[in-house]
Amino acid sequence: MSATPLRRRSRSRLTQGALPYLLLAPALLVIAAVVLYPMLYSATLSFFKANLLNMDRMTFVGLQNYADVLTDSAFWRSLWVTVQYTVGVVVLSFGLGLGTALMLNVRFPLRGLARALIIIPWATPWLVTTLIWYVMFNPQIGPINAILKQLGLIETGVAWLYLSGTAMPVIILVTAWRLFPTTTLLVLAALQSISPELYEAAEVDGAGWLGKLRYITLPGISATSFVSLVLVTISAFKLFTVAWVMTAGGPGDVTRVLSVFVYEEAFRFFRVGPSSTLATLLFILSAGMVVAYFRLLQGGRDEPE
Amino acid sequence: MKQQRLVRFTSISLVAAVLAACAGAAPAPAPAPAATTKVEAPKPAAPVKLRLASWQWEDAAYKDFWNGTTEDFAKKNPTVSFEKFSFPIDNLWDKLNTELAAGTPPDLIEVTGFNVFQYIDQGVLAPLNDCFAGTDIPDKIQDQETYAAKDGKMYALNLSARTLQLYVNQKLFDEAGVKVPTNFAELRDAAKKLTVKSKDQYGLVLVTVAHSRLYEGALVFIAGYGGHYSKNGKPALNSPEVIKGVTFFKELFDAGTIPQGVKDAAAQYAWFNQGKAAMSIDGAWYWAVLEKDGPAVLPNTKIYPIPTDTQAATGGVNNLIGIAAKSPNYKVACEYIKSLTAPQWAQLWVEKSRTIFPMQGSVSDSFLKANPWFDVYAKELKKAVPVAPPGLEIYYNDVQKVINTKLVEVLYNNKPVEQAMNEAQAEVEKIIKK
Repeated sequence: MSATPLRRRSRSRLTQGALPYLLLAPALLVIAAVVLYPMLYSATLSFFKANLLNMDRMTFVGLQNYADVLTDSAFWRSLWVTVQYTVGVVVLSFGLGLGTALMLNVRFPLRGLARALIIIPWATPWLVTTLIWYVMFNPQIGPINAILKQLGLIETGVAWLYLSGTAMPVIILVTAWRLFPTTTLLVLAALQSISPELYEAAEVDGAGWLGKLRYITLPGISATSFVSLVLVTISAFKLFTVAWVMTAGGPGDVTRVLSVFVYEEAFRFFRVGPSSTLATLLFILSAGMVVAYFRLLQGGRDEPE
Repeated sequence: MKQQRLVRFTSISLVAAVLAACAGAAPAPAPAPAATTKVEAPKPAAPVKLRLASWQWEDAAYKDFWNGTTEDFAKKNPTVSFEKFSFPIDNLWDKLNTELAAGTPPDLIEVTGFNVFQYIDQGVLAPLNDCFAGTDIPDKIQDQETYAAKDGKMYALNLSARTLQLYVNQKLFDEAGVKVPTNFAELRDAAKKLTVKSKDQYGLVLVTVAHSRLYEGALVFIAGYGGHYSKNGKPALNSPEVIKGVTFFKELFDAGTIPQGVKDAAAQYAWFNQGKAAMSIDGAWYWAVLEKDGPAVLPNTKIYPIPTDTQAATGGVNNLIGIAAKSPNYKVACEYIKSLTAPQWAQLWVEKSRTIFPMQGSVSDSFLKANPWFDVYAKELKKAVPVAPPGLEIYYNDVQKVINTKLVEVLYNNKPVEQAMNEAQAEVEKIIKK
């Protein structure tokens, strides 16, 4: 055997091995430039004292920003607000999404149209959705107050967005409204993949609606629901638009989620060090959730059949 | 074989792309060999493009001024052109500050009387002393040497001065048989009498959610008791005057005489434009808005001094323009700034924006004759109470945020005024200490 075919074969193996990386390289380069570099730069800034208006005057302060942020009650308060917001959004959007998916899985006239219409909230840009709801909740001109007045439930307009008891529920509602179609679509797809024979067999065995839901439907959509829950959690955890546009974090700090906190520190008060520190912490928390998600998903897959 | 070719093609493309990205601009062509006999031709001035940041480029009240001054300057200096750095005011600062952070600021920056201090403090603006040397600008422009100044250096040209005054819908007053208020007691009384729930009509409209106008709206009442958010350069957010001013605001709010959820200037305008508010407190620029958006209300509109016990109006220097410290075009930018103080431009500013260009002669007799309502603004300017807390100007954003937060808690969530303002005082002290 000559050496040439051997060399060719090994070169071919090498190129075959390199091909995926070469094909991925352009995308990776772009991601590195527009995602990785800013992230690393932001993480670097978290070790400096710097003012946004004059980045030439940066001073290295080591872990001081982390010490300051982690001992600042405002950070813990904001983290708690973020958790409340995230949990509220996840529960409400999942509930709405699941309910809608179950309804859309039943045969009824114009079901196709209803399935198409359900996408509208999800297809509307965040800012547009938020501004529409902002007007809806206006104390004087908002239709929500007008309807409640007509029904005799209130006498004067309620300032939903400025009362500490209602501001958070309102932004949760708006966010959930925007996000629930994601759950609907995912769960609906999962529902359609459940074999109808299972339901038929259950009916033969005398199972009722609740029994079929508990023993067939819910187990059938559990993996998809889990993915949906994780996606909505991550989405809500880092969301900025709704809390900023509707309440700007107020009243007080009732809706001051971490993303609003980061923005205010950087662009209102020009404190780049603390804002980068907050952004880094927000990233670590989000990344922690993603890791936990993969672990749970992996755990589910490893379970013996 | 095909795969190998694909790999080779991809590799070459990638290398080419990386090389292209890394390469700088194409090298300049080699200079032509020097002629044996050297003839010095006059060098044409290098073209200069000045980037000018302003939120007023597209504003009906100001765009004639900016377009007029830049076009005129470019006409007289053919090598100079202008690039608009134009965004609405609520978006401008984020864009501008990002450019500052990137080290690529516009050459000329229009700033407000509130944020100019932070820009000076952070070295964003270049001193203008050299620019104004040998001119009468420091003398002829009001407060030029004192307002945007630090350590004897001037950092921006004062473009306008303003106050807020009381807009009154005289028709609503006459129908209700109420006389125009001149002090706190009369204001309270008038606001209540002119609030008609069945008609969705309110006595007074002010911005009532977290906004710079909420901060200033409360300051109007605080100044009415002779106070401010600071005293002797230190925070005074729980001083008796502040407590009284905020309490008065809360009283009007609780009585339902002020609409809730008024989020910004546009929302405030809308209430008065539609005849749904009997009074509003606003600047002279609002007259132009009324002409356009409230023609039915305009004939019945009159302007009076602020109806508080001191009748002090908030305001003072409002708009300024400076040169970015990092601008490579300081000299040309300086010439442009100097050109703005020509009487024709000062008068155009007043005529179009209905705010005062702080220079003798900018408010012409013919303008006053045509706009008699402007007189109250011209007269009351002397009594103007600065909007930024004196001595704490560089903390303006922090102070405003704290105050707005506490005001919303007081107005909507019934937090006791004294408790809220004590908390505000503590928070501002903490920020300053940090």
